[in-house]
Amino acid sequence: MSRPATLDELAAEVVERIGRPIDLDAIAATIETLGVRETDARETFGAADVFDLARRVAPLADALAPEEERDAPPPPVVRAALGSARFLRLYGRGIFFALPMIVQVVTIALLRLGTRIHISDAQATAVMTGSILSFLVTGGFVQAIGRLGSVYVGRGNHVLARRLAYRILGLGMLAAAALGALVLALEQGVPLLPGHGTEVAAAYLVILSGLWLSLAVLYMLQQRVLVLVSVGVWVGTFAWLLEGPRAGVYQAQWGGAGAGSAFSGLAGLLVTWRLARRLPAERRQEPLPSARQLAVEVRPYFAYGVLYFAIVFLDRIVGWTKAAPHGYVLFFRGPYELGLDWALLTLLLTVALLDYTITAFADALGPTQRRFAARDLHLHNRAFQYFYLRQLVLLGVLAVLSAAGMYFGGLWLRDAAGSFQEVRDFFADSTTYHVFLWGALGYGLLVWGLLNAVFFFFVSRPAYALRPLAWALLAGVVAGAAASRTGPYWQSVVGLAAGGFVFAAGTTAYAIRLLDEIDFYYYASY
Amino acid sequence: MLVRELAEFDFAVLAIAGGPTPVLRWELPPNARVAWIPVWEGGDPSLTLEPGLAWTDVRRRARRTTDEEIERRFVPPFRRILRALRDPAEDAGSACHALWRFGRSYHWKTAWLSRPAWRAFADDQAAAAEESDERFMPSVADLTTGMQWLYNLLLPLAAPLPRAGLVHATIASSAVLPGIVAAHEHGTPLVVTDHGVSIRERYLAVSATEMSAYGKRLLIAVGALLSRLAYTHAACVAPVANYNRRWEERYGATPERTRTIYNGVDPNLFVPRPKPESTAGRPTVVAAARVMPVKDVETMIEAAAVARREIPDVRFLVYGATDVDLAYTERCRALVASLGLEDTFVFAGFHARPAELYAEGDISILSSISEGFPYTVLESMACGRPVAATDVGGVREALEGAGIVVPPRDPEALGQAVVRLLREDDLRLALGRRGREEVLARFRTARSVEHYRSLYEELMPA
Repeated sequence: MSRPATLDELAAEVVERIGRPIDLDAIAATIETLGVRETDARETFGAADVFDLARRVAPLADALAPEEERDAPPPPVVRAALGSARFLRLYGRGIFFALPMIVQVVTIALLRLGTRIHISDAQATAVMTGSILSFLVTGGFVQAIGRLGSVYVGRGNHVLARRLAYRILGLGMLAAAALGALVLALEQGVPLLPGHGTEVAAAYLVILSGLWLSLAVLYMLQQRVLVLVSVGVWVGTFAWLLEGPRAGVYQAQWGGAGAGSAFSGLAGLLVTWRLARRLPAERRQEPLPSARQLAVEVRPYFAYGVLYFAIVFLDRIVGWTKAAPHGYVLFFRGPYELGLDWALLTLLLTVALLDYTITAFADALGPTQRRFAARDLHLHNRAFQYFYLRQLVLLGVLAVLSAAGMYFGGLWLRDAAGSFQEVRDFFADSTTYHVFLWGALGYGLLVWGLLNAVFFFFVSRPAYALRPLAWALLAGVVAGAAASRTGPYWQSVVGLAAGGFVFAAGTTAYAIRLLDEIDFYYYASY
Repeated sequence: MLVRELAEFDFAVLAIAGGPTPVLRWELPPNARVAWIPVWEGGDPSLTLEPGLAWTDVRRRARRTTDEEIERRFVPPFRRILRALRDPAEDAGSACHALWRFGRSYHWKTAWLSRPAWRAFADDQAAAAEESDERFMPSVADLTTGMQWLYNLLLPLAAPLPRAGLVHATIASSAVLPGIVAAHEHGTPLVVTDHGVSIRERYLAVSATEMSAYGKRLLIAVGALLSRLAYTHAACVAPVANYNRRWEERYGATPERTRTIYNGVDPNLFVPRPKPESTAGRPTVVAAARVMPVKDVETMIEAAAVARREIPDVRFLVYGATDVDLAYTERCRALVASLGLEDTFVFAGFHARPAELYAEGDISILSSISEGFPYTVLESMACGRPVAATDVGGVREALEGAGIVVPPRDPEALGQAVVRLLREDDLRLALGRRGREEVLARFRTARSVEHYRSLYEELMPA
């Protein structure tokens, strides 16, 4: 390694180190690191000083430097947005990633069905009340785990992710226990549920809350296979308890859910412990931000989690509170629940699109942002508007296909397997068909809103989902109450469709606005 | 060190931290308190920088920060700062002050993440690129990252300002912003110490990266702006070596406001010791240097080959991390092998007791191609070990008369300097004694602290 002795050598070394120099001082700074001093600038190169020498080197360096590579210019926007091979690949991945959630949904439906076969409507009222309350009370905490914990998972700090997630899990369990105690206390004054229903509901509330919260930790860690295994442990334990030791249905379900949550909770601890070992010692000591700071950050997401489950269950509550027998506050109606469970299956194809959308959007953002120059912001934003439009069309097609498939598939099952008592029971009441159709419409509209919410959450604008959700809840309650109080109870399902419509419409209005300025919103999500 | 030694002063330390949750590594003396400014943290600065602020006040600020107010009060000074990135004549100091005042009444993050602020930035940058070179036209990704950088680098403007008699910034970067604000708000004097020269280091760090031309230019422009602000506002610029002055004066410092205050070492800790048994029988050259290109270890290795020609049993011990630049370390190891220097040149790794490592050698060596005012030279001098060093940065200022300086990247000259110091016992011992005397006279920690004490007393209002 010797010092450059000519201007050409100097320029070549500068270019080798820094490519095309940004300005003269970049050259001066680099020259100094090549061991060229003021005295060398004067004596070897005849310059007044290093800065003067940089001036002399600049044209030589410019001539030597290779052209800087820029990202290719943007392709035609519509073509860029419609790559079918890419769609199939990502949608396939979306289905795989959505699988744990779908299995979870189907399991809930099957367990409800199983429960109903073995127990009365009065007992099912208690089970469903506990289940619904568990979703309502944990919805916010589940969002908090997902939102806050993912930040630390993203930063690779699994010590903080674990600490935070399990603290929130603990808070969620406290809230569930408190709600359970409240329900039991209320029962002392007002007869809420038939028989020992309130005690049963409280037990379901607490046990299922543990399951939802511990599964949320695995979702946070993106351990979807472990989510599947946890659901397997839950269902397997339930079936074994029912068939093996011949436990009662309640005990079998509690045991199954307990085993599932214990497994997922321990799996979450194990995964974070294993990942945390890679963390350098000094980063292990990093404290969490203050509770106030965390609370401020998570507040809208928490509210979203609560409101989301409120709208999902509002129609049941409205319907079941109409003319509940024996002076109780609410009473389970089998055919209605069957219709909704049937409609729930229409989510199979549409929910996978959400995962695909978020992945495709995230993948497209960086390259698209790099390809458009600052002077072409409107073209950049238009590319994303096309992307959104395509997602809407896809969703519409999938929702119609899914609803039609489930409806006609159900009719086929009814005709083909009519010899089975369970199948005959399932399709016995016309209410189930009405509820399915309205329910499928409602769920389809809700997924439309959720598709919009994907964009809002990506750019940290939860309020754009939250406001329409609040309006949707109000619209759902009003429409459901009006329809069910002026007609048969099952018309409360109209509330689900009305809420879904308001949610979809409200979020679409925000989505259009957001995508029109996605350059700004993406920056502002910082 | 300064905070502990100047016990008669109270220090409110505004610590610019990278991570979101910093950990204090030193025990704070009773005369100091620390407030963190985590510039790369994405949270709400109202909460992180003002933990005492009531939640209702945060909400009030956020409600008040409407787009209209942002257009009226935030965007104009922000635009001036953007112009100042291109035009040194723009008064960025008062613009910073205006932004700071804005942050006292309004919600900082809301303003920065607002549509008016983003549009002002995007329009300004696109228009500036149109007038300049297509090469510097930002992509949308560049704009996004660029605005985020500005947010982070100017975040100290969101911090409340402790009332102080003097502000001392220890680097001419974002750390200087509270001093700029204090100068405008209260007329508080500002002292700036640059250990390296931050703008020069910014040039070196940014130029070698793979980022876009726009990104490089923006980061350098921000660095240049902060340096200009520091050097033009400072009541005293206090470089650690005269060598730094060339760059500092280029960016706004003036000779009459510049006073060099050299670093110091503790002569009671770094004391002359006899060589230990492990190296006693062999001519030994010690280096305290991390193995990285700027230390030019390759030239040191070639100098070792030159020295071995004349002194076959000479040994070079290099103490310092070898994992900073693994590719470079491998290159150095290969060079050692190709020159057959395995028994001569040893990478000895990290040394837990730096005060003892110089005693292992007869002399020490420094082969860097770039330095500020290196502690390793002072420490070696304090230990009575003369240094064969390259003539870079402030090395000559320290070593004049206490060692041999040679041009950088000249292994023959460096090797011959080593040979001379090892062979000529009288010269080596005399330079060693002289070095120790120089440290006692000019480069003691206590002396350095005393200079700062005088400077504080001189500038601070009674």
